[in-house]
Amino acid sequence: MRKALVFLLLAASALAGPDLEKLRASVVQVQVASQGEDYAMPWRRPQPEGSSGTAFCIGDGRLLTNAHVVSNARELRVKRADRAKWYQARVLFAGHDCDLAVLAVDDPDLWREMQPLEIGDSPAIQSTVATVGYPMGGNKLSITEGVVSRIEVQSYSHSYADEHLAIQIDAAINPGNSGGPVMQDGKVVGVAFQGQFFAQNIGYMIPPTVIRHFLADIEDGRYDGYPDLGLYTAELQNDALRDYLGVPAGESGILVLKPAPYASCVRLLERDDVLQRIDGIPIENDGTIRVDGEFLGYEHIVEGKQIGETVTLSVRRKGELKEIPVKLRSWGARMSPSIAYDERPEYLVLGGYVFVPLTTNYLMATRASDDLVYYYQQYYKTVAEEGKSREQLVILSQVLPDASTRYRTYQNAIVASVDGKVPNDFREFVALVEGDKDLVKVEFEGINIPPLVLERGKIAEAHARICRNLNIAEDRHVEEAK
Amino acid sequence: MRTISPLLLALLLPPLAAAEDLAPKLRAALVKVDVAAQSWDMNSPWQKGPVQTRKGQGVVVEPGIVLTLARLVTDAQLVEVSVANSARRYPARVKHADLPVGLALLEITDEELRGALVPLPVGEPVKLDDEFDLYQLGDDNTLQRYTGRVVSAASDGPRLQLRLNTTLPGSGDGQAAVKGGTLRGLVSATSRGQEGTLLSVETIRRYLSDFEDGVYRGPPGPGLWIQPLLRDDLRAYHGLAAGQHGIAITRLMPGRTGDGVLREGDVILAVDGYDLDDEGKFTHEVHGRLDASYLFQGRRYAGDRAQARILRDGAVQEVEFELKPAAAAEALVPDRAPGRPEFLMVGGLVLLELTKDVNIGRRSAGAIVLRRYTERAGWDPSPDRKQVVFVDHVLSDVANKGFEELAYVVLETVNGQKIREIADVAKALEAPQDGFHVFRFEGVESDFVIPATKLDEINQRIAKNYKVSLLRYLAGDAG
Repeated sequence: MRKALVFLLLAASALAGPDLEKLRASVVQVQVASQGEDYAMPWRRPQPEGSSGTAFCIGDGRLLTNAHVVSNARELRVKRADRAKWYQARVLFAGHDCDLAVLAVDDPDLWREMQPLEIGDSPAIQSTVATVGYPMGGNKLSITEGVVSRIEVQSYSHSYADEHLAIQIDAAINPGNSGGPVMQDGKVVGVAFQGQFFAQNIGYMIPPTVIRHFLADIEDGRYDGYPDLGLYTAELQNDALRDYLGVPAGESGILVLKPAPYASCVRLLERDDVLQRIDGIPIENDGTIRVDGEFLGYEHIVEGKQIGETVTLSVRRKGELKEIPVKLRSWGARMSPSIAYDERPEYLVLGGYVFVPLTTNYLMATRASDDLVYYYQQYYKTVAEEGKSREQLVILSQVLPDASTRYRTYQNAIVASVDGKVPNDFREFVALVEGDKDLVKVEFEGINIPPLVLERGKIAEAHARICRNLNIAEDRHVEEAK
Repeated sequence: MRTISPLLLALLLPPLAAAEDLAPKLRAALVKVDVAAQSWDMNSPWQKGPVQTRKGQGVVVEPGIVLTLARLVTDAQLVEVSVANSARRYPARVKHADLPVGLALLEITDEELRGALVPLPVGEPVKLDDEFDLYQLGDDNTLQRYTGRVVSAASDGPRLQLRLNTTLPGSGDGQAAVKGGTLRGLVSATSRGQEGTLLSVETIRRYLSDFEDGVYRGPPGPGLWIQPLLRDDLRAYHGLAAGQHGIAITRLMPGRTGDGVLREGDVILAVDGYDLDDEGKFTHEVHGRLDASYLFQGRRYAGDRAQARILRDGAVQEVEFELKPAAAAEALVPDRAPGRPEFLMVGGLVLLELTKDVNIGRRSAGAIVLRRYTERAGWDPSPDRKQVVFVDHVLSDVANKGFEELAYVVLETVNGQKIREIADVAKALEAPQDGFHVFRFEGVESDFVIPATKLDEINQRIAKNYKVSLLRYLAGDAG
């Protein structure tokens, strides 16, 4: 009886199809030297770090891997398991929201006797799969079998802010495995991408739907990312509330609290709309829809679409049902809850004062107070209105030590105005403080925070001294207007 | 043979003799105070919390009247006093207490005890480096003496406090500082491992003499937001010349001290003839550098007038204004007043007014919103809002399904009516909208609704299930 069970499992083995030699050619090790940015002291650069990951051939002279393997890369090379040579590589596309990236290698030698791996379909729950890659940096190809435990929406930790479907398997995904193919019946059924820090033998892979979404997106030569409905919603579990909103008995839906400014639904949906169907699929009172027997968030319908495509929302507004076609856009707002990669931080050193735009990267680098994090996270939900409020918040991040800055104890003070004008973004702020006035008054949000009065003459003198003493080679980085 | 007469001996050793003479005097003037107190349960405001016992010290300052610390007797159910060398406790009642000042008066009702106690006169202020004795009745009611010395003085709103060089083994706070047979202060805090603080003679005198005309006025309330002007850029911005020193007014509260006379942007250079420095401190004759709050609050009575020299638009002016009482305009987020908290329980929502002692955690989003009120904007009542009414928690019921986790959200409107204070909720519930009571919260939150005809039934069901003995308490309700 026991023997029979083992036999069955072997028969269903994930590696029944492709032979090992093919994988040794197609699945490459990636070696990276990366250098991020220091958002706390943006004029300096942290020490480069070395790391490794896995990538695999998807045809057309392209390799697929995780975005987190190659982000902030300064030097990038790949190596086949069946050869000794390292080949220089470069990033063609990186989708930080779905943690996928495509690499190119210009040396034609790499591609000889290498076959692309085909992307298959999502594996069934409890079926066996094999992760292929170079865990923990070893240079021999490693293959580990595991069983598909569940498929559900997961947070994609690379961007900090995105959630997509992910497949959980009971094979551990270790550093180095990242970007490697997960195989079943000779086809790729996932890309290994993250593990669980506090759990053992749990690994996650990016499912074929997300891989295909990424590959379709870059077909036009540019990665645009996932569209975002941008809706703040609340569950409609309360019977009286459904009655009050005029939802007929027996029907369900989710309550719209606010469309985020700049995203897809702005000016189309409004507070107290009840979202009842998405592309004709009924939405439950907890915001889920039923897809292939599984309950998934209603946003899942948008996951399958690209920016520019349309989704139809059935909305009950003041008791009346409306069909609203929504052309899909991205999150759109300048301040993003996602971590940015491969970008230089914007900053301005002005005398002893360091001003920066408020970004997720800054908050993570400086461990700012809960209040500031909360204000940032809630900005689009509770404060911002498209066209009315600021697109970027500017903060005085720190005061550098100098005789001219004594008794100035600002840290992370949010700029409210410059000479009474509210700057729409960081660039406008810089233009305002560097205007031709001799005396500039910067005021801050909050109660009883003293204003900063900048005297042009004194600032110029202090500026040169501070930059010299603190070895600040560049006193600013301000992005050009797009 | 030469002899020294007993009289001469006494003259030769006056300090020892004086110290020995004091003990009987102090045994007749010091009492130990035992209090059983019970405050309202702020999370379930229809009931009271556990009974707490507190002990402390007091000093007889008038026949039958004991001066002690206000916080000892807050929410007191039973107050008892005992005297030196006796375990017997006598009943007393709280005659008056002022929490911001920190002092309270007890009245001893037992005639025999009243007759046995002798008031200790209040002496002159002690100053920096002065040494004195600190007395308390120990756990066994014996008189215990320690020595103390003043290391610094600080003005804290209506209190002038002196830091001591010593900690005291506690039989509760309220120990008497004594020198030359007179009272020189009352120990207000002796937290473990930290030096004690003393409520000064100035604060005690100000408190006791407030009763002289039969009307207790209390100290003036705070009213000015100020900023120090240590920085050269701010000094230049406010137009201070070299040699001019002061603090800038950043905000005035409607109806409070300075409103209508002072303006935002004025620089206060001097108050009542005392020059201020750039930190807002002045030099006191006895205690040295003190915060200007002593001039506005610590030494004055509500209703007094103050003179100030100010710099406005580049010109020095003399102005005079009334020092308003704290109650002239309530704070948006006040300290919790003693007594029964106002609340409403509606459809499982427990609604309270936000006070500074509401125990809000650090982490939850709602707590951060509430802290914005308590820490930043918590001082400014407006026509739109006198108090902040919020949902403390929800008693789960089928009627509030989906809202079980609602906590620390601020109530904006009920049935379309703006909620300026908790009494507005009761008024708004008289006018439902299309058959529903509609609660709208601050920020981006779902409305909470209850079918109007079912409200009583729902409230009764929840009250029964969770043993809520009272659905509301508002000022004016029989409590």
